Amino acid sequence: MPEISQEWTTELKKGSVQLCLLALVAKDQKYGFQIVKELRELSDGFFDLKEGTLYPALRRLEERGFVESHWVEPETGVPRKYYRITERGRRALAEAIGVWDRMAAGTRRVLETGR
Amino acid sequence: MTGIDVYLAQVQRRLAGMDPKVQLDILRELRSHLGDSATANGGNETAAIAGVGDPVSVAKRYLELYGYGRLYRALFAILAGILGYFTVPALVAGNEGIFPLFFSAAFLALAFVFLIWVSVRAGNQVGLIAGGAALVGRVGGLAGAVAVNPDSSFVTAEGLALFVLVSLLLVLVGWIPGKARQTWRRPSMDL
Repeated sequence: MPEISQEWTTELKKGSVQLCLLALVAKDQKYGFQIVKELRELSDGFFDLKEGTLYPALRRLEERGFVESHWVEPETGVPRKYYRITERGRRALAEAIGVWDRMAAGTRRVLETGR
Repeated sequence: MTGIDVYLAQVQRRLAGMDPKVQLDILRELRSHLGDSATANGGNETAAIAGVGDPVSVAKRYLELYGYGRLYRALFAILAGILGYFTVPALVAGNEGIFPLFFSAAFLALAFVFLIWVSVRAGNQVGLIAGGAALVGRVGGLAGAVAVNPDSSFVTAEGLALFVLVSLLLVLVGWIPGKARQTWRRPSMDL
């Protein structure tokens, strides 16, 4: 039985999932299932969230103008909605990574004292 | 009908009121995802559906993001206006019998409950518009009452003051619950 609450871990994930989603579409456009899969694999399963929470998170980024989407309908196979980062999203990503790096470095230094 | 069809129909039912274009786009994307996920799971649709989550929570997240569409917002305002119209006789009836008084008082109670519901479910802006529509409905009701009874001596200064007060209260009731919900809900984790 873990000592820390499940809610704490959930909040950590919630606070960082949009940053990860934005980073995942920063280089190439990607569709939902691909994003979900990469997020899970690259995070070693940490972001093993319900896919039903990831899609609204992606759409929130779209509402903020950080990503844009379009449908691709192949001649064979399923139509897919692709997401790609916008210029505004790129600026937001750089800014958020800066905050994240400062937080991670600061937290690490503090945590070292308690090991 | 496949398991995915049933699941999407459940989500769609719970997205009722949302802009139809957005609704279709959401369902299309979910279908595309479920298709990919089922293929990755060796054709197991149940596993794919379980990965997305229960339809109630899924639809709720989308509704929180997009809210109600224009049609429903207009419908809320129209209903509030109609309710507002029928709230007037209770305040201007004066020497009328008990039935119209009771009738319009019931409408007033109904209008308050309806506006609180709209404000909480659809947000304070939609609630404010509905409250405004209720006010317009009341003004229409008053104008109708005066037109029907040219001898409008029953419209006293106190009655008019009460009319204005209750009308403004309806607008506030449309706005405050939604605003309170927005203020007190958990902070957003959006970037």
